[in-house]
Amino acid sequence: MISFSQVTKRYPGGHEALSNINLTIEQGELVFLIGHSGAGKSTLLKLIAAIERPTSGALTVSGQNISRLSHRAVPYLRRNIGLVFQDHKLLFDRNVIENVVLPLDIAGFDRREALKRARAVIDKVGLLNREKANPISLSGGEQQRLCIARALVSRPALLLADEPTGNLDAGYAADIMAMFRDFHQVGTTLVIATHDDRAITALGGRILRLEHGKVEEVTA
Amino acid sequence: MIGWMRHQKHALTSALRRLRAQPVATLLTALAMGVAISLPSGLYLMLDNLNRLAGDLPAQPEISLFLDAGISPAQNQAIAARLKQPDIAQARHVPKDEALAALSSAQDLSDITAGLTENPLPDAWVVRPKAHAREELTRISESLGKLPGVAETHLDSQWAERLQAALSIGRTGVWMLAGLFAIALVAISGNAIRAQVLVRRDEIQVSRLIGATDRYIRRPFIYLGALQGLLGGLAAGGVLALAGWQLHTPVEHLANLYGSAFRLLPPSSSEIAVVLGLTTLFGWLGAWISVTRALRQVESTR
Repeated sequence: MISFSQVTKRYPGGHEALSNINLTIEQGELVFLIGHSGAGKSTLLKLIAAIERPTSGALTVSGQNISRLSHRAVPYLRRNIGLVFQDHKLLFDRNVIENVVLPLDIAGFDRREALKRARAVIDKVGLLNREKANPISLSGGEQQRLCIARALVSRPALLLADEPTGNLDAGYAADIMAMFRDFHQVGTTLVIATHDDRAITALGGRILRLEHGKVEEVTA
Repeated sequence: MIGWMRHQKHALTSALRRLRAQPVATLLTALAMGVAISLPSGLYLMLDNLNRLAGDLPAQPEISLFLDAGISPAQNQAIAARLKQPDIAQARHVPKDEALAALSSAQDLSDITAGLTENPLPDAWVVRPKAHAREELTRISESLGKLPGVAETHLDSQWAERLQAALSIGRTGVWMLAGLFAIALVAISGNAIRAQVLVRRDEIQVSRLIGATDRYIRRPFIYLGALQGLLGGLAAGGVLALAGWQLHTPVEHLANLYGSAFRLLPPSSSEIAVVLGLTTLFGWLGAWISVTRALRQVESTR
C-alpha cells in the first residue's frame, strides 16, 4: 500500500527531516509512528498524503508515484486518504453535519446520499445528537471525533492521523483509540503518529520509531 | 456529467448564500459597479436619443436639381417621372421666375435683380430623398445628375454630415469609456473576490487537504464574481432609470417649446440584455483572475 525507498526530505533552509527512509506498509496494517516532536513523524505523514514532496527517493502510495504525481492528480489521491489532524481543522462557519458532508460534496456525491452517509458516520463516532451544533461548541474530544468522522465519511482505504489524542485527556484518548481499533478490524489501513504510550500498548499493532530522520522497527 | 451539474449547482447556491450573508458589502460593490457602468451606458443612451432627434428634425438633406436652359418637354417629363420613384420623399418644381422672385424678396437683392435684362436662373427641382445616410444621398444625387436635361445637382447635406461627424466622435468616446470602465469593473470584481478568498483561507486549505480540485475551490468564487457583476449591471439600470425619470419632464417641456413631439426613449430590452451580459462577463473575468492568483498565494504559504 505504501512503500518508501531511500526517501529523503530536506526543507528549504537545510533541515533534513527524513534521511534515506526505507519502509513498506501493507494493506490493512495498523502502524504507530512514535518519537519525540521534530523527529519527522508529521513529515512522513505529509509525504504520504502528497502535502509535501520527497527531496529524493521513490515513494509509492496505492500504486501512485508521489514524487512524480502531477498537481492535478493530487486531489484524487487524497480522496482515498482520510486525514485526522491534531488541531482538527474544522470549519466553524457551518454545523457538524456540513463539516462531515464536505468531502462527499467535493467528490460530487448526490446531496441526499451524502447526508445519509454523513449521518451514519456521525452516529458511529457518537455525535448524532450534536448534528446541528456548531463545532466550536463541542469539547476537544468531540471535535476530534468530528474530525475523524470527516476523514472516514468517504470510506478511505487509508487513514492517516497526526497526534489524534495529543490534546485530549486519558478518557477521551482511550475512546479515540478504541475507535481506530474498530476501523482496523474492518480492514482500513491506519498510520497513526503519536507520543501517547498508553494507546500503543492497548492496541498492539506495528510500532515504528523515528529518530533524527531515521526509522526503526520497535519490537514490543 | 451529473456530478458536474451537481458541482455547478452547489457552487451557485454557495455563492448566493455568501452574497446574502454580507448584504452591505454586496450592495456597496454593486453600487460601485453600477456607477461605473452607468457612465458609458448613459452616454450611449444620450447619443441614441440625440441621433433620433437628428432624424426627426425638419432640416433634412435636400438635393437641388438645376436643369439645362434648352431642355425639351420630353426630358422634363422623364425627370418628373424619375422623381416619383419610391426613394424620393418629396420633389418640388421651382420655375426660374419663381426662383428669381424668391431671390429678390428673400435676400433683399431687388436692386440687382431689377437691373437684369433676362432671368439668369435655371429651372430647378428641390428634391428630398427618403434616405438620410450620406452614401445613399450621394448615390441618389449622382444618379439624378446623369439624367438628360439636368445641368447640375447640388447635395445640401452639410448639416447632416456635421451632425454625423459629431455623433461619430461621441460614439468613439462611448466605446473608449466603455473599455475603461470594463477594466474598472474587472478590478472592482477582482478586489472583492480577493477579499473573499482571504477570508475563506481556512476553508480553502481544508478543502484541498480532503481532495478538492482547484476547479472545485475556484467555482463558487467565480459564480460570486459573475453574480456580483450582474447585480452591478442591475444597479446601473437603476441609476439610469432614476436619471431618465428625473430628465423626462424637463426634456418634454423643452421639446414642447420647440413644437417637437420628441420624447426620451428608454433602452431596448436587447440593449439591457447586452449590458447585463457584459457586466456578468466582466465580473466573472475579474473573479477568475483574482481567485487564480490568490489560490497560488495560498498554496505557496502552506
